[in-house]
Amino acid sequence: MPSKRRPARGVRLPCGIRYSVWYTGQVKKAPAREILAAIQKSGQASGELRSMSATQYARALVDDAAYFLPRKLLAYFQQQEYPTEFDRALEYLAAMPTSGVRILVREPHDDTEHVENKR
Amino acid sequence: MRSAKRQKPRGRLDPSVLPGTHHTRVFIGGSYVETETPVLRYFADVVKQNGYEPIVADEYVMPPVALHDITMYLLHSCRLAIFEASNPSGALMELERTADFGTHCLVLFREQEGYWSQSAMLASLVTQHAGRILLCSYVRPKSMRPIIGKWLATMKKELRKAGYAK
Repeated sequence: MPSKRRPARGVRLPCGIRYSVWYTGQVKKAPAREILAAIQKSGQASGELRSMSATQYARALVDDAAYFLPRKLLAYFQQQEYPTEFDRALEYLAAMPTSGVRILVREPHDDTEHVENKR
Repeated sequence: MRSAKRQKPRGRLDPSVLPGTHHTRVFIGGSYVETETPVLRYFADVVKQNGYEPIVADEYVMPPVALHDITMYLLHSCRLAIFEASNPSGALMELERTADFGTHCLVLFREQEGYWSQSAMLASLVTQHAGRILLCSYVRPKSMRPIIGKWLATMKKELRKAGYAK
């Protein structure tokens, strides 16, 4: 029976990407989920946007991308891998021509999550 | 009396032969860039499913030099209009002219998209013509299906009150 390979004790795993994003006249620096949540809760957001959870908003951005992204660009994005669906949704949102969101910097974000082998 | 569509080469329609009647046609206006056309087509489908005839200018054959004139003619042929105003486009010219034609309008824009939140000119126009223009933001295009349906139903009641057939 094959054994599961686990990282050695104390190994840190990268936990995603931290984005610097230009939005509403400011630069915000946070992981994708926090940025999407901030957009939802902003003063300009309507009832429809505020009523969604961050997960629902991310899913809506991905599901509706065919309406708002050029076909070939969407095809390119769909071939890429992202740490989470929030990262994918943020990339889509920033690529939409009429979106006010622009990604300035992407930095690996290490939350120093230690992995321990259970014995 | 209903008119029939007549196909021109390459699938474009003949603007001299329009479907429906003046009070059953709904002009669908907006930007025809690749990233906006799918939304316009979706709204046109919703209009059709509600028993009205969507008129999408991009579907009609017109020489480039006559694009403005023929589009205005199409707009004037419709009592109702739905504009997708997320992206600045020639639709703003059309929206301005609806005051002359008496067209009842539903103006939709995608939230967080920037333009409406910045344009005081457009907000002012909508305020001044509040009896004729309804403004609505959306996040997901499909959330506009019930909004469009309700607006068309309201327009139908008003047409009946005004003495139109149907």
